[in-house]
Amino acid sequence: MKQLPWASYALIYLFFCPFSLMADDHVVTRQTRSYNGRTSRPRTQEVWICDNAVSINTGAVILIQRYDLGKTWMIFTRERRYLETPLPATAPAPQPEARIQERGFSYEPEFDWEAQRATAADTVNGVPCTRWTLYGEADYATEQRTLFVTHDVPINMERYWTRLKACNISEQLKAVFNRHPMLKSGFPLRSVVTRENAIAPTLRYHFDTLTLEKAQAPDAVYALPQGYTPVDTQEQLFAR
Amino acid sequence: MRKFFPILLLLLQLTPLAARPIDPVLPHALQVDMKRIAETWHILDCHAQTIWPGWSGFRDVPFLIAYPNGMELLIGHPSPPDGFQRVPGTDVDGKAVYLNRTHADQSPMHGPFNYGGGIIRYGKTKSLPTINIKAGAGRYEADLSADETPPQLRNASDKTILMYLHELFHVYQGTIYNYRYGNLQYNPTTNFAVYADVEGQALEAAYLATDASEQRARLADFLAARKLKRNAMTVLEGQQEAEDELLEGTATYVEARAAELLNEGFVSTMKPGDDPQFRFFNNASFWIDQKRIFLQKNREQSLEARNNCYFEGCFQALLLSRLAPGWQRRFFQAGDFLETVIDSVLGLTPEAMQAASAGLETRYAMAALRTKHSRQVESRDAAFNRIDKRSGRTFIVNFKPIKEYVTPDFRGECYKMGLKELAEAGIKKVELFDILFEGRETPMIKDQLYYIKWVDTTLHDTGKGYTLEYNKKIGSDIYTDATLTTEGFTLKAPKIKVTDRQSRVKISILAKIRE
Repeated sequence: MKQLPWASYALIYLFFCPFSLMADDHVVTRQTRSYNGRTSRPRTQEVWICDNAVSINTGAVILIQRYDLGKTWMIFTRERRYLETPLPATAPAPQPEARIQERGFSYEPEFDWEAQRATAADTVNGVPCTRWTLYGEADYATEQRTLFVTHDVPINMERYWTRLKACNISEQLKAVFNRHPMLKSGFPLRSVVTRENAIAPTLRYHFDTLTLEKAQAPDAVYALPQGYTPVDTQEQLFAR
Repeated sequence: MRKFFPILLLLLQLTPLAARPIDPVLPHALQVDMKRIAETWHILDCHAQTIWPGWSGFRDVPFLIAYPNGMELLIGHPSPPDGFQRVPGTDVDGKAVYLNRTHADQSPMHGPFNYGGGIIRYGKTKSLPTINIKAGAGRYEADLSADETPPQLRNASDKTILMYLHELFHVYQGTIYNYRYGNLQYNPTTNFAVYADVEGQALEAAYLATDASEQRARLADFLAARKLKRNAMTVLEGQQEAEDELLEGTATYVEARAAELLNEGFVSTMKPGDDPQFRFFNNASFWIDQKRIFLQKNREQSLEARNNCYFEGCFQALLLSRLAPGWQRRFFQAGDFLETVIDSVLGLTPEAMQAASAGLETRYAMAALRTKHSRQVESRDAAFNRIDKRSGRTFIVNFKPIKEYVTPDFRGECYKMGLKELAEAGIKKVELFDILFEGRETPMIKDQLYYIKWVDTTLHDTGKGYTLEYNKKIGSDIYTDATLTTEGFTLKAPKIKVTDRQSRVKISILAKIRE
């Protein structure tokens, strides 16, 4: 019998091994925040994503979204409490017009974004990256995002975009990513965000990606922990 | 040697300000400010326990003072952020003094300044509640009580010291009270403005009344008006209003009580000549009376909701001190509002409350109040609809890079809506050091404290809409000695950045002094 080449064994293994095909996406990032002359302690965020669920763990708070159950659990680990809410609809419900009593106080900048791709090559921890700079300009605020984007991405970027990214950015910023497929399909290993707020001093975030891989998720990472107490509102969840 | 002298001068010029060693002789204005802080601590050493039993720790609260030229003075902070350098051989009652000149420019440093303040959490590795004072070159005339303030008391340090007491008390509050509801953000309706006016009148009448039964009757009116006002507010808005009073009202009460005590006699740590603006609280009764003037003026303003909390809260606290001496003990710890304590002190039956409500209409001539306040509220709403919805090419003048709030000279009526100030006939002028903004008669908005917005409705996606003259261009968008002219305004400034995108032109002012 003719021997199969080595690569074929590998392909067969990949095909039949449920673990490697079912492996989830695993992303760990570290973030610091500088404001008013002070830089915060680095904070780590661990994300697991599979087809039916997302788990975002920041230490004190864990957010689990279960698409199979149509539920979100926000878990406050220190007080062993959780809040269950229905998964948000894809498109946010239109907001009713504010009462006259409330108008003019809060300011939500609506940025017009421009994106520039650097021609020179960059690296982050030895990994080749493309540097993109996004400039956002609003009436009373500006924001600059510098992203060091790798295209060597082991995770399912389409799923990452749908489940995480697209629901956490504005429509205007989404449009910039959609205009630049290279930006949308890559993963930022490092991001530096500088926000000049309308009134508050400059705010600067620095994000580094520590882990970007396919891996087997720990048991129960998408499950509600045992022995936690349900609450009805966010105020109750975080009450001291 | 002669040859090297110009080179040495050049090198000195090129040395960044922050890297230069600190001159141990501080500018006079800073030395005076340090003395005022020491005086504030001295007053509290003498009177804190009388003003508010249990108040301590005030000497451990750092002060940060920002000056119009960008210089910052930090006193008593264990962890100064980058940029601060210790001033050798200088302290305030043993507390270290630091100076940050990283962002200092050449603006003149002669006062008197106008001081405003608040609390921020501040520090490089240890973040502490810090009194954050802005010494501005603003105009005293902007003050609500300017007309009533004797000229010798305008910009008097006595007022600044009372403000320091106010802010220090906020830090103390933070150690014994859990903040629960957030600030009230509320544009008054006619209903709100009318009942707020009645509340203010009732509190003033109670304060001026000499017999206890009259005081109690007017306080019952206050509670009745408040109940009727709250009917048209959400529960949260009511809680926010009451909590604002609890925090700001008691801090204003601290100022009033301190002035009362200083009026009875005062031995200062300062010598005549230490601070030319200090009146040694010789006119302390004025500062008490000023609170009553503020109470009157605020209640007459139809369009202002939040400022009421300072003075309505202060007078509730002053009246509680008469009706229930010692009421402060465990007040914050219990978490009750001032109005709740008054309610329990009066112990009104539902029938008595009903009677008080029924009498408001005639006792306070409410029909006239309704006519007066509704006119203002309706004009504001109409102006908002006309101005805020204008479309076209938007011009934004941004004062934030120079850290100066816009203090415009409005042309005609100006209506507040949240943080917006809507001027249908526009802004006449803003003048600040070498900056001059002159507006024409066209609707303009001051917004978010630092910005002026004007919309050129004749331009949409086409047309530049402005001309720009300048002395020098730096990079692609920065101009020095610039004059930017639109159909709505002309701006002259020492240094600007122009960001020109399709529908918006943003002009950020980068310097207020010509180099």
